[in-house]
Amino acid sequence: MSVPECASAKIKMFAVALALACTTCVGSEPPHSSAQRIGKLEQTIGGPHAIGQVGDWLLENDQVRFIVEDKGVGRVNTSFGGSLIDADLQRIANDNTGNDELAELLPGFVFSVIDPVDVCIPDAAGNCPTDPDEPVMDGTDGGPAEILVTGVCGDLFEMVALLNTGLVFPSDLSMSQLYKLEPGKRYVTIETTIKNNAGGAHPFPYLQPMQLDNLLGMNVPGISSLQLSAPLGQFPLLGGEQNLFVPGVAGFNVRFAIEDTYGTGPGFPAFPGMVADFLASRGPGVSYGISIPSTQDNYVNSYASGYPGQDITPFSMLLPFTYAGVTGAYMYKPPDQLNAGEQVTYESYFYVGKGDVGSIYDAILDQRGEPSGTFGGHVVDELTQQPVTDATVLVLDATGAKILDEIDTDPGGAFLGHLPPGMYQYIVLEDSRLDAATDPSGNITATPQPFVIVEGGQSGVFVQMHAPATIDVEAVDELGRHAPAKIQLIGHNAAIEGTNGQFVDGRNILYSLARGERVRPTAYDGTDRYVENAWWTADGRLKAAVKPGTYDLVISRGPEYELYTQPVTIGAGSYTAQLAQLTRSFSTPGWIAGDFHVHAQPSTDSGLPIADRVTSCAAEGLEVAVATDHNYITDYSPVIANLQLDQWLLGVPGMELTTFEMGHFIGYPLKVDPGSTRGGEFVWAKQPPESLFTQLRGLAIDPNNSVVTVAHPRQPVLGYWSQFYVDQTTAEPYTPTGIMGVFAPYGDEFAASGFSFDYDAVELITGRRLEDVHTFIAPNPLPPGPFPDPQPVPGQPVVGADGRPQFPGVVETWMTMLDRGKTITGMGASDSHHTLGDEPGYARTYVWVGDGNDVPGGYTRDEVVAGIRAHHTIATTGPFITMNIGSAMIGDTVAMSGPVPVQIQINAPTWSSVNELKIYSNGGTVVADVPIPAPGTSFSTTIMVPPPSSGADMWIVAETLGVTNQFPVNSATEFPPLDVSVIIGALASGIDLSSLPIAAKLKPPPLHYSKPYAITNPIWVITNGGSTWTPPQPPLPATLEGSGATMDVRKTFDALPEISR
Amino acid sequence: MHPRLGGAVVLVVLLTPAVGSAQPAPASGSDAIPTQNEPTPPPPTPPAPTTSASSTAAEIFHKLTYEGFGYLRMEYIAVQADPNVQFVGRDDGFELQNARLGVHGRYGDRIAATMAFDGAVDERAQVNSPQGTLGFNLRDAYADVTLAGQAVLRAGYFLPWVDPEALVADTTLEFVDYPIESRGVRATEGWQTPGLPPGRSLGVALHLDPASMLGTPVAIDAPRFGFEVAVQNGADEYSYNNDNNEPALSVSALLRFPNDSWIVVAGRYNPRTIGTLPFRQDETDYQGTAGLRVVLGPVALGGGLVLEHTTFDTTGGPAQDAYGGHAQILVRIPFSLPLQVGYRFGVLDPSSLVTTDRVIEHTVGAVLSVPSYRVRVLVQGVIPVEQDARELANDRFQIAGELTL
Repeated sequence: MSVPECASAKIKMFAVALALACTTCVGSEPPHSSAQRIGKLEQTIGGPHAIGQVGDWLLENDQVRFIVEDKGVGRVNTSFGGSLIDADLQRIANDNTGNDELAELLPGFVFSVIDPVDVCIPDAAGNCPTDPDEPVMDGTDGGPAEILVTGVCGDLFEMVALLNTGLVFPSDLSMSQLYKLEPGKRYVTIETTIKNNAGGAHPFPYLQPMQLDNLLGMNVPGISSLQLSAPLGQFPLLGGEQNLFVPGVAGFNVRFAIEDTYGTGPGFPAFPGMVADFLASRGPGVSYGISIPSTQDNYVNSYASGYPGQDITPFSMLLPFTYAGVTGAYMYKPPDQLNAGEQVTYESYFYVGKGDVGSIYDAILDQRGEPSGTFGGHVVDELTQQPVTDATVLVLDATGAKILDEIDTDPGGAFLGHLPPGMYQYIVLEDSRLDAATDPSGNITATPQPFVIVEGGQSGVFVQMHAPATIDVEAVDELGRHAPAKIQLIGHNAAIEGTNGQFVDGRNILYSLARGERVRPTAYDGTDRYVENAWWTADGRLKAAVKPGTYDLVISRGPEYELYTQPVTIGAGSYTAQLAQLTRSFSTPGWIAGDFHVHAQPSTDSGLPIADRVTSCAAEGLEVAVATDHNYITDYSPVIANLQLDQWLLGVPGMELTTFEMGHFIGYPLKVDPGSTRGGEFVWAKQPPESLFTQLRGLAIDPNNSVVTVAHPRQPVLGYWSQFYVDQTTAEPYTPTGIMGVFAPYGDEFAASGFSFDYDAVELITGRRLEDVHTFIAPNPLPPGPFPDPQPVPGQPVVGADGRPQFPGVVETWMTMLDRGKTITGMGASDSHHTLGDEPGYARTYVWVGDGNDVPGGYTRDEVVAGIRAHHTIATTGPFITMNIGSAMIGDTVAMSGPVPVQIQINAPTWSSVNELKIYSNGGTVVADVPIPAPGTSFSTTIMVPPPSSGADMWIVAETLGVTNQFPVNSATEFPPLDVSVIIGALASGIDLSSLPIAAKLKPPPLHYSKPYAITNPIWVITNGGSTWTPPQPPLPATLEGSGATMDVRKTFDALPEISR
Repeated sequence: MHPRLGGAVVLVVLLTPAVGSAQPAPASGSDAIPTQNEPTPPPPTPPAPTTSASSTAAEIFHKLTYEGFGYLRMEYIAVQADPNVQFVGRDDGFELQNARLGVHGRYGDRIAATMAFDGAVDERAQVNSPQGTLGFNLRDAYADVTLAGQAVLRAGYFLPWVDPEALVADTTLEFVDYPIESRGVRATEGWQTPGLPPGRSLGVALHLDPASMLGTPVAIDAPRFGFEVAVQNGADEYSYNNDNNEPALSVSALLRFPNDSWIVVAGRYNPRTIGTLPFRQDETDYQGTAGLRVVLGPVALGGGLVLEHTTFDTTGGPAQDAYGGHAQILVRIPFSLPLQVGYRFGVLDPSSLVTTDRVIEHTVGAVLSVPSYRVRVLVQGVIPVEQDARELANDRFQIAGELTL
């Protein structure tokens, strides 16, 4: 064979081999599903809220992945295990770099959830296998893979245990949940089964209202006239990154749309709430959704007359509330009763999408088998013709009044979604551009444009968007350094000025929550100012695309700097550059500013990347930031170092140990366990307070030099003092009576004997909730009544039927503790979960770290902790106040006879000026109230405080206040805080709860702008010549006796012969 | 047949009749035209093929010839600073247009291979960004196997003749830049826009250039016909693999004339898939192109036209038409060194869906060659004219020096 022939032969052989190789690689792996128990961490999903760990259960197919938590107590969010905790798309590479943003999904029967007894891969009969060799539904047969959770009913909210018990009586029931994942599907089918384990019939609702009234031995006004129902459903906690969506008038405005429905219906038996064809969400890179099939026992359709004016479909669910990340999704009406051993099963679907609502809706249409066509196209910039990424394509109904779908554009500006046949409109939104659609002539318009979908057809559009403007800013501090700084654009709009003293927020003026647009906080003071956008920069440098307009460029760096303000006008496609130098307002020698309560992405209700969190802290002039994610130990230090912020900010690892109803507790500095998916191992569910405090100290780097803080102690549901009903005049818990006792947790962990004072610090100021600081005083004159008895007295605390203040103050309670010898440190913290509208550092705590040490790198974590433990702290929203008695500083003890000269120095920036100084002493008595003359930015005085006539030792605390609006540094509270009272009020529709503080007519106004406020920790003064300071009141006991817990509703029920078993 | 088999079948079909029947044609001539795909200067004529059935290792080694090639071109560019658009015209200065190195190897007169690398690829941080870095990238990587006469089977990573500028070697450019329909608009010189012709792609082609034999220029004394039928991935340039199961098909016809003149027409069908999972979108390009170069004494006329029709099959968006073209004239000026001056009219309208994106360029330029130093100096001034809504003040001046290795 010649060389050419040889070559020819080889080439032929190669070609044949190549052809054969290609024939063998034709096609791809068929869809598959699998279920398995996680044996190594690499099998978990990964992502911001991924908490799956070894021992949990992985359910996946070629499209999606889920993790079901193993049995036991809840790990992060709710009290029980066995729920769906992680969910994500199947990602390429599958290397634990997933994007789980789901907090949790768990079944709900009114307020009963599953308390798991077992988790397994079931056999074909749907039971947990007893023989290890028995075939199970793990997907190896090519069919669906399954995971089964079996258990009993537990209370999601103990506070509504009365309602739950009356409706469901869960102790007789068992609950199981089967997760079934078919190959190729982007949703898991959830079959929830309720079984009656009792020997007799179990009706739903279990008790009639009159029985409850008699049972409780009290008259709950209106309860006897109620007709009740007991809905079945799910409780999704979709995570802080996810923006909830419901098609219809709500769109992305789910929370307020739900609240808008309260009171629109006749009430029970139909639970109040919003009707939803499906629930979906939008999030970065992943989205979620829930829907149900069309069935005869659909809850909403069963009580359709209860939801007048709402769109009801065969697939409707009821969303009664969304609170603290938990959304109720009630789906089915149970049978009138379950006979002994009988069970009922209902079905729901949980979807995973690619980050928009459209990908969820596509899967829902697929699941429902509904006919559809597609709507797609491209979005480009009108000037550059470059694709517009992450634009929001909103699909509206034919009238434009309802939002039916939302589709994101991809990096190429393309989008595609499925819709049922019909007539629609569309509009495209992007944060830095004017709204756009493109009319048939190709003109850009802000008016939604029509389109039509036919079955199996395509409808496509090409959209140009107006160009954004570009702003380029460089800011330096007073020394010329590129220091971290906050840069804002303040817009003006006369429509938000309000009328007749009624302030308005920017909803439907500056932005539309329904369309998913970002909130622009307003000054909320009758002026036309609002924040168009804000950036927290690590080095004072910013280059950003913004919506064209005329603004004030405002640069700030916390209270120690004045505002830099410069008007700017920027047009579409144009570019504006500004250089700025900040001016120092005051110095704090020896003191450093810290925020000891901030959240970031590891918290399931935050979603803020850690890099953004630490940058925001540094830009607000904070020098210490303690990571306090919910049930997750986080250390900011690596991120701070990576951002080269270590010269400005010290990170301290910590956690906010978050119970569901007992309160929140902060611990630091904590060890980070890299082997744990939540930074450390601890148990918070069903634990008494002492156990929580002990665990926090056990997690500390040095238990003897750690800080345990009670966060927002007076906040309903979330506050330790609120949940234990701590009396402000005794600082001890008491047993609530009457209807207040009905809405109180009942668990053993709430026994008074478990109440503990073993914490080091308490938040006197949390965020912008200045209304919680002091006991609420009835205004003078009173607003129009009537009011329930006892009648309020102008200028006096508003009290309840038991004579106690209905809204006790944190400071008053803290001062009682001081009187009784409990020297816990008062703190200020922001509890910030986001940035704009929820800024870190407001409030904050100044901590003494020693003369000359308040420079970058001049203080250590141990010095900060030591300063807090020694009470050398000042809590403030802005002003800086110091107090000295001779050489004694805040937190010191000094011996002195006769009148005590208290030296006060106050400094504040112009935007946080003060006008009043108060000095407090024993019993919370105001011993001096001094006006501060304008401009209120620098004030010093010496107050002579006489010793108590009783001869007792005393403590002295200084406080300063102002009325200046701290906008735009610190946003106003312009939306009612999402308060459980709204939900309880709605659920108790038809019942008179006016005697409950939460439902009171006269209560602290929740809406207000942010004002200056600061309070020192005490100086303890030994006045009687002794060597140690003696409390002026009897010391608090180490442990409490008797039943401080609230009534046990279950035991009360069990004691009834007619229903006990 | 499953679409994935398509490429393999094409490969087998192309290979099977070719092997064993390839007969080399004599290569000769030194004034043939180098092309963008074929290295300059041309490698020397390889030794005559042997028909010995018992080639020794020494003989094989003797048949292997290698020739390096490359060039270096640097320019100074000054662009008018648009008063409104900050990324246009703020980076006047030196640019390394390219630093190419390549090797052309031949085994006898049957097989040749070309590999070339660009050492100064403009890699922008993002679209319209004034920030960019010099990148190093593969330029060409293909092998030619002689089938019959000058017809070769080409396989590898190459630029098809669908871009008429593929017939113009970088070192023979008559202006500093390629025409606008091929080059597009670069970042900082205007609203950045890609050119219309396809870039390089992996694939195979049946390729006949009457003026080339395995990369070696061949003189022609009468009009000769050439063609190219290419099956390529059609994915984005530099893609490792195909973007879908469908290949891109292109067909080109070429007519060359003895006096360095040519006419080419081509068509291309490219079903593409873009986007990332889980949202992958199918789009289809239909392209028609034409180009010509006519030399009439001291005058050289040139022109090019690219028409493109794109359908958005997945999203269902309205189809998009695009066109671009140029016409140019160059005149040789009597001088002690080769000198040409010329004018080019160029137009590019990248989308019929956008009514404001057409750009017209008026270019005047000159080229001075210094053959003894293998150096050329190119100068050009360009006046781009955008439509009113996107009008820019972005006239530019460029002077480039080029050294051919």
